[in-house]
Amino acid sequence: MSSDGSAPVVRIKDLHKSFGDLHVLTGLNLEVHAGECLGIMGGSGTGKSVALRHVIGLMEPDSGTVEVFGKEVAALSAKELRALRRRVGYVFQEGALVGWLTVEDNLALPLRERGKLSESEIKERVAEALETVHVTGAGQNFPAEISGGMKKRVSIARALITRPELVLYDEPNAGLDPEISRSINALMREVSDKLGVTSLVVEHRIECLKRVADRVLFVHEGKVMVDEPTESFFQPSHPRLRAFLGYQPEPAR
Amino acid sequence: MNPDSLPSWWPLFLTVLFAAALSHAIWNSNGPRALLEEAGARLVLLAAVFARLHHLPKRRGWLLNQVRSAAIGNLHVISLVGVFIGMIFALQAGIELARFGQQDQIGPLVAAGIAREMGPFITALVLASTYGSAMAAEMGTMSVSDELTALEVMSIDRISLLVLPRVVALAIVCPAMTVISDMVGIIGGGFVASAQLGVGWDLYLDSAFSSLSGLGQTIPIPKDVFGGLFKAFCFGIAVALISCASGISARGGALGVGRATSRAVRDATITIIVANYFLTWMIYR
Repeated sequence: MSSDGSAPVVRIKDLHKSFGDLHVLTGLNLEVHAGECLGIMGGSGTGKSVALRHVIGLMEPDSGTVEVFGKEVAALSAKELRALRRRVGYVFQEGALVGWLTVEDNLALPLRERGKLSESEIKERVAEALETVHVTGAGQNFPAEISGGMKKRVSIARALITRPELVLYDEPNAGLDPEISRSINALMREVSDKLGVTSLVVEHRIECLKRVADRVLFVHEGKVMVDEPTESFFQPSHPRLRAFLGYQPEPAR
Repeated sequence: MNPDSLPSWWPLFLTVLFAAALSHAIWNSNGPRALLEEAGARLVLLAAVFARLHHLPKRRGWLLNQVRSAAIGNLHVISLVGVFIGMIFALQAGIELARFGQQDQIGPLVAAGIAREMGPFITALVLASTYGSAMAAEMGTMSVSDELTALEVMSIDRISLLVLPRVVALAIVCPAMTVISDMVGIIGGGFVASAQLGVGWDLYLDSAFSSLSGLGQTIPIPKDVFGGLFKAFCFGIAVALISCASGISARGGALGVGRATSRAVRDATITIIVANYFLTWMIYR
């Protein structure tokens, strides 16, 4: 339970996941509360993205449970899973925009598929989303015709256009230069503050999490090693985290 | 043919041939289980497409796009290949028939051969190698770049959005292009017949089209033509389905897309050839 007594939006309990002999998650536990922006940090291959994929039901746990909006994801029927996914936005590492659709059509696609809005309402919503992510003027371009930073912005806009209650970001800074990363981070924070959505951000860039997260977890060897508010997370006492952040060499084991 | 007149070793020959083909297929895949799973996945996909036929009105825009690009993009290839197939057919048949002074039979022979077999067969092969491979590459790229996962995460029905318009488009385009292929093939045969084999152009065309004029009992289209178009319809569905399924299952970056594309063309070609035999047996026995 959160401090106000409400159930967490995401609750992962003792999550285990292996791929063959590779044990990626070895008892991951975490909770994300409504309106919170939780960052997950860790080295490559520590299972951050795997955890995210469990939250959206793209993977099933070997053991443990993943609950989203109070429902165990692995126990949902296909129809229930579709309903749950409609409440969640997902920002992919590489954007994953549909290449043969223009930016505007990419944004309109989830709205058209749901069929609840008229074409004029969809156009209005698309224009509004493009304005929110500061990509006006590129609506008629195809994803291959815009920069990596713009793709990421459009991807965020697509995740937000259906007005989700929870947004999952998978390494939103990957492949971006520091200047564009800063603008993406500012955008994520703006979205979080303005729209009040709950966010779960997987990232290993310090600047990103410092800027956007309220709380940060450090995942090491498939489980949470440190769970701290952002400010204290980046003044760590845990030797492994200090070594990871480059504050001091890891002590010899 | 009287089965008694076949050599005694033919069942053994067929068995060895099938066993060799199957072993090679298993060796090329990840074992018999993977092969069966792949075949099963394609059948499931076919069933899923049929179950979504009522989505077609919603997909008409994308369906028209697919029809347009499949038809317009391949019209010149099918016309060119079709005319040369007719010419080759006429030349081969004409050389043999000339030995017996039966050149006037070239028209019916070319017309029947093209309408029944070569028209649908060649059209489907061309579509498999051009449009089918492009379809598999497109789907494969979407798969390896997480675009398909993104659609899934947005609760968008990928089969309805991507596979249904493609399958229906080829089910329409393949028979339509077969009509064109048949026509240019028969005309191509006529060029050879009149220019190289001494058969009058009018005689060739009269005999060719009169041989196709007998209407079927159930459907008022000449049986040879209808049989060919039905085959083309089946081939079109098979090409689109195999191409989409191969693309969707692509994994592992550019290499995976390349493999999926070549697998799509290979499997579509085999399916067309094997299905052609069974459809011929079913329609013309």
